Amino acid sequence: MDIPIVAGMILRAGPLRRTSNGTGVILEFPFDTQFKWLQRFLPHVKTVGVIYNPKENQERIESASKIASKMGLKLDAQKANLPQDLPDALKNLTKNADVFWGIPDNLVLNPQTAKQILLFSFQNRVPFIGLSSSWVKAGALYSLDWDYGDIGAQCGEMALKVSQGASISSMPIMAPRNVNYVLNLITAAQLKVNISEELIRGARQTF
Amino acid sequence: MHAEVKNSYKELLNHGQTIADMVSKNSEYGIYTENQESLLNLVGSLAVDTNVAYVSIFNQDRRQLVHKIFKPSVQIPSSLLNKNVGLTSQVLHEEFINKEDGKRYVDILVPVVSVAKNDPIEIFPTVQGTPQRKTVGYVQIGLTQEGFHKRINQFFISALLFTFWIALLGVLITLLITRKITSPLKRLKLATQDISEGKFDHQIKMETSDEISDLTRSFNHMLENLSNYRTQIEDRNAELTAANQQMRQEIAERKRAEEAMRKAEARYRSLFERIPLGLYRTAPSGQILDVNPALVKMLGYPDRESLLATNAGNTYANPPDRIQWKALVEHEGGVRNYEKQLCRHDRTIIWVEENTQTVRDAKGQVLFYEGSFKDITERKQVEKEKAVLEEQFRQSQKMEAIGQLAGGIAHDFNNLLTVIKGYSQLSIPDLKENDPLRENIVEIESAADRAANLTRQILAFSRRQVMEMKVLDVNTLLRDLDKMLRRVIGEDIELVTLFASDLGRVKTDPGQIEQVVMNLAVNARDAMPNGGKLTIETANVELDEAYALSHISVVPGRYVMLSVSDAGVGMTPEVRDHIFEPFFTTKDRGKGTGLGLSTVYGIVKQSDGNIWVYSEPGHGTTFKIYLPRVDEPLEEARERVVKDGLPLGRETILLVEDEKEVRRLTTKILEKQGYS
Repeated sequence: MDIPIVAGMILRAGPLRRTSNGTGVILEFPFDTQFKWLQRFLPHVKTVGVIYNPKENQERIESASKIASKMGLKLDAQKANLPQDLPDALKNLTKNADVFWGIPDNLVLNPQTAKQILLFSFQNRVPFIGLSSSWVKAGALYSLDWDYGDIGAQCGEMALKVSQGASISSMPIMAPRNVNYVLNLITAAQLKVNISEELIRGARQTF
Repeated sequence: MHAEVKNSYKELLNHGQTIADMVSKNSEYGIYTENQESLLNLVGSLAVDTNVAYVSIFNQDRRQLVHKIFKPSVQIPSSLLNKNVGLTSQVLHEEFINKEDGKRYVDILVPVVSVAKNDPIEIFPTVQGTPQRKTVGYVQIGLTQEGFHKRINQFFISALLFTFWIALLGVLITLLITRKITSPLKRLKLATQDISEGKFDHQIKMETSDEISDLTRSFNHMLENLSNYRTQIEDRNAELTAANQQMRQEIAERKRAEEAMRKAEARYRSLFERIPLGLYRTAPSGQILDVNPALVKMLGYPDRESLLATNAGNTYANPPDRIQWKALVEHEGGVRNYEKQLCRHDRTIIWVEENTQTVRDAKGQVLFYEGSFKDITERKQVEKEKAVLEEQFRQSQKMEAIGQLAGGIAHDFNNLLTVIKGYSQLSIPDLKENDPLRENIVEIESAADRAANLTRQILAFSRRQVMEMKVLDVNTLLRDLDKMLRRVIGEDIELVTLFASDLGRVKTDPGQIEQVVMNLAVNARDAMPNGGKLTIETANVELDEAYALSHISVVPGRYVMLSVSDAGVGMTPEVRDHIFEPFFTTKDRGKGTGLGLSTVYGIVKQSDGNIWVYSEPGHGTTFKIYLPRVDEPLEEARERVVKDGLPLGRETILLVEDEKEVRRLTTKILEKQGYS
């Protein structure tokens, strides 16, 4: 119980927060980071569409909505309690959203829905922001990606501080300090999205 | 053949289009993402179809993303791809011959169309005008026609061979059939020529046993039938001609009969309309079915219609009588000379003589009654008057007989009374005042007086009374009698006298007439025990021939009428028939002699007058006496000289008297007075 734990490669901060001797770097970028990058890729976006399962992501959406608002964006969040709610949610999304923001949600984004979500993006010319490079490869416009090496270093640095006597409880759970991104230029061409040369060069990988 | 080729080609095209559509629908995502792996997997799956020569998928810029060639020798053409393909799912196709192997292929190009899922037309039709459809790529498929041509060639050869053999067989069969048909047909043609010339006895020879033979047999049969029919038609025609002739005769006869019937009907109608007898036809219900003008006139109806609208019962004087009449005519079948009374439209009653019969249907139900009425009212009236006259005559005869009988007896009886009274009067002076016989003789004389009085009345009735005829004024006579009358009738009865001012004179015995008036007044008094009014009236009357005809023993002429009327109890007809008979009385025994009215009758008759009585029970009685008027001047009333005692004399008198007792008595009286 007293052994301090520095965790890496974890998807959610929740379980770690409930402990008193654990900290680390989670595989999730803060919302402001995500929206900041979004505005870089798609500067004309005003409304960000998102589909979520309230049971899984209600708090996250509420938090994201506030942050988006602060950043001059409007979050158009469509609920989907069941898989069959997805078609209607997608349809509603097209009314206002300029971009489809993907968040980790097992109901909305999974291997079964992926092809339909991406086809929807192409057909309605609403860029989909993926969760990972796999999504980008499959047709998402881009996704932020983790610099796993740097996350390791970040975790190492935290462990070093603990070993030097720092109190683990005073060390907050961190988001990755480096942001990588993956870009699909074919999708950009299909959706007629202009991506600057600088961003293309900065991409960890392009398709 | 051409259709077969066309169909096979169309089938090939449909097959190619189906494959292209399948690829198109499944390649949308691969084209968007230019995912060659998924696109190659898709086109690779077509290798199993031997018709597919190649498949290519292009993006919307017509850049080939993947292609797969299953027939290595083929070169993919690009002519379709360069055409401007629209956004629709229009399919382009064209044939080409591959230079490499010289075979035919079909190139098919299908667009890959992407449709936005949020089709605005579905949600807000007014937001955007057209659905978001766009062509994102193309699928090009090549199909080899190798198998198709092979199949077509095989089919063509087979069809050609089949057609050849069929044609050959057809020619042979046609030749055979033609020969077989034409020869009997020629015979039939000849036969029809014969028929057209009316030769039905022609028979065609049969050589075969096929349909032509059947036709020939039918034809022969038809000929036979035609021959028979012609015979029948000719026979029938003859019958019809005869029947027609007969029918014409019948029609002519019928026309004559109808004309005769019409004339007869007109005659009978005329008879019905003109006959003076009333003719009718009535239903058992009383509905009047028909009447002739004579009956309408007889019953006084304004027209025929108004009589037809009346129920027969209402034409009866007593409507319920029709029920008895119906029973009679239905039971007897009719009536002959049946007399009955009918009620005219103006409610007057007439007598008719009826002859009627009841008409029944086959079941015996009464249909109607028909008959005639003859108006016999006049005859009935005459008969009635005749009956009255006969009765008057009979009564007169009876009175005459009674008068003669009574007169005969009274005359002889009067002689006897004269003797009784004479001897009594002769005896009385000879007896002393105290002689007991004297009182007896006085009683005998008194009784003889009463008897003589009765006898006088009988003689008066029998008109054997000695009349002292004088010309007199009845009014004066009645005025002189007024006091005595009032005394006789008493105070309870009012005496009213109505005297004619210019009353004619009569010649009669005034004493007798006084007797008449007194007798009638006494009778009137007795008829009014509780008082009443007694009216005595005089008038000049003229009795004409008509009156004389209806009243027996009346001689037409001028008369003075004297009537005596009371308001008493009146009389029944039976009493009235006997009142003038001697000794007939309705009064209590001892109160009347029954000679009062018979005396009146006798006096009137002896004065050549007539007396009639009018009376009904409860309505009083009126006696009317008619005395002949005379133009002679009035006679002065002779002074009666009443002398005391009888005259004395010494002369000799020749006495003639047939009655012995009377002669002796007279002799005694004369002798007593000094005569001899």
